[in-house]
Amino acid sequence: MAETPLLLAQGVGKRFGGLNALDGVSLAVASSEIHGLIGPNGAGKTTLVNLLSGLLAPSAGSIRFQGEEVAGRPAHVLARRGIRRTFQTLRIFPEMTVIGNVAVGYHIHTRAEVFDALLRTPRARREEAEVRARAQEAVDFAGLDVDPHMPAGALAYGQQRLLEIARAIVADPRLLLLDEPAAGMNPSECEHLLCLIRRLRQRGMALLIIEHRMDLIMEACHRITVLNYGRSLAEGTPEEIQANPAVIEAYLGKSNRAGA
Amino acid sequence: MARAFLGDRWLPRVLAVGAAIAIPWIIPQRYFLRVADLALVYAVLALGLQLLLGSAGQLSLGQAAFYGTGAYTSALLITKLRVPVEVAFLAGAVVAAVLAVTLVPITRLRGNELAVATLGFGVIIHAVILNEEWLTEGPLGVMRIPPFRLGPLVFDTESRFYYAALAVVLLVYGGFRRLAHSRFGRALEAIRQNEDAARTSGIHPVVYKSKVFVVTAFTAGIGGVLFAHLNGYLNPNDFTLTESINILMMVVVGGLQSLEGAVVGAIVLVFASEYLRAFKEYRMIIYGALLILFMIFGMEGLRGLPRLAARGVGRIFSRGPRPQAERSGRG
Repeated sequence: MAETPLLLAQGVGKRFGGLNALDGVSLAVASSEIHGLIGPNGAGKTTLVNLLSGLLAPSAGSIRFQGEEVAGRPAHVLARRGIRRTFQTLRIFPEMTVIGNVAVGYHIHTRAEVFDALLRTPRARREEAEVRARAQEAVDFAGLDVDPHMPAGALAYGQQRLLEIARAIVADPRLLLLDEPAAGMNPSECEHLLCLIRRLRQRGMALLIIEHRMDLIMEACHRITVLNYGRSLAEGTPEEIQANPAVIEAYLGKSNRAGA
Repeated sequence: MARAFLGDRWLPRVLAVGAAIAIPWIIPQRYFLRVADLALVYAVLALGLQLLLGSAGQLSLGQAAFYGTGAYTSALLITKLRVPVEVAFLAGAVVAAVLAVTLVPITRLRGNELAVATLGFGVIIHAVILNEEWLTEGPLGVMRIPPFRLGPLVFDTESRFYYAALAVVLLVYGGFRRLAHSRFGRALEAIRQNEDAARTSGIHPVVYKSKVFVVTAFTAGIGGVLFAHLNGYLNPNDFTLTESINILMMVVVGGLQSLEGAVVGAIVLVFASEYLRAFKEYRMIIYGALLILFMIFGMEGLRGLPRLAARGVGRIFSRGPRPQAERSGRG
């Protein structure tokens, strides 16, 4: 690869007690690439996303983002650098409004503090107007067609997934990590999601997507990394991955036999 | 503008403030007003803890430490160093806030650990107040604290103090409402509702927890200064763990996440404890039972009572196995 990738993880490992959840995993995501991360349950996909988003610190290895070493940096720092994520198990702020949820994602671009709030300074007013406008724009971009002032906890499941995406993209990150974005979505919502993923890339983001729905992954991704038992098993284009005997053995083959 | 300040449903608030202003005329008894004064002081304390617990979800069992620091700082400055009352007022709040800055290391703790750490902090401050006689007069306490004043205005009677304290409660309430609807309040809410999601959105929880501790301590310090002037005398035993628990109960009884609830909780518990003096031994039992009941019926405290009542009535009439309208009841 001639160009430096946006994200380059090399030899990343994570131990929980005596268990090696991840061992020597490498991954490269280029700018404005849609990259898939697949593997059987327990392969370490979510752990890897937790490391990349800073919720966990790796036990070994290097993570470079935009050429800079970021392994072990805390989540809020990485969020500021431009890495945002969604969660497999939804983590919205249920008691906040839809627009309030998304406004949290824009936090880093505003500065108003306690005194601004108490005195309602011009800065606080200006920022609040900006936050609302940007949040609404992100809600619209995600295709979330609901009353922005309703509590987020009252949204349907698929809408809550879109809300998480809106919160993650409102600050225009460089890299968006989606952890099973299609889980619990019906076919038409999936169709919408695929379209959204492509529009996000056009907006200038690179995406790393964990997903169990192979149709979505194969359709959306430029490249795919396969994990198995905490190790990198394969990396390549969707065609290469589908033809890779090791992958078929570990993952596709098994599910083909068991499932459909 | 007025609507922006008062928000929706402004009528009940205006009526409540009007009633609060009228009370000294309606019930001019000194004893009653003294209890009302105390209730307003506790309303300030409960509001402070509500911000910490209700908004940010951080439990402090050491509010008495900040409360006592405010009270002692102002009282000692006035009686020992002849500092003007107004200056001492600010100093009490500021010193309490500065003390909270020393807690920054423990704001890294989560949940129960943080609560226990604040408990330890409260014990330490109480021990300092009790034992450092050169500074605090020790078990003797601080005597002859003059009434609160602001320039030519001296709040030296029960009803005068009442208005000063009411003004402080309204200021703190209004300020906290603004905070709640700001970037700062949103960050606190985010941390409480899902800390991981807040972190991955770029919010540094330690920074916000520290800030909210400082704001809370500042508010508790103000409450302490008011108490010192109201009582005219400070004793170390006014600032024990029992006091911290007392403030916590006001917040829980009033209803978590509700600023109005904190004020109502303070008023209800102060009046209950004063007028239940005849049943002194049973007071804590009644308190405890109340607390358990409020936990059973959810975190909404007194604020949730109308809804609970409506549900009960609905159940009687519908005779159905379970009411389905639980969610729709929220305005």
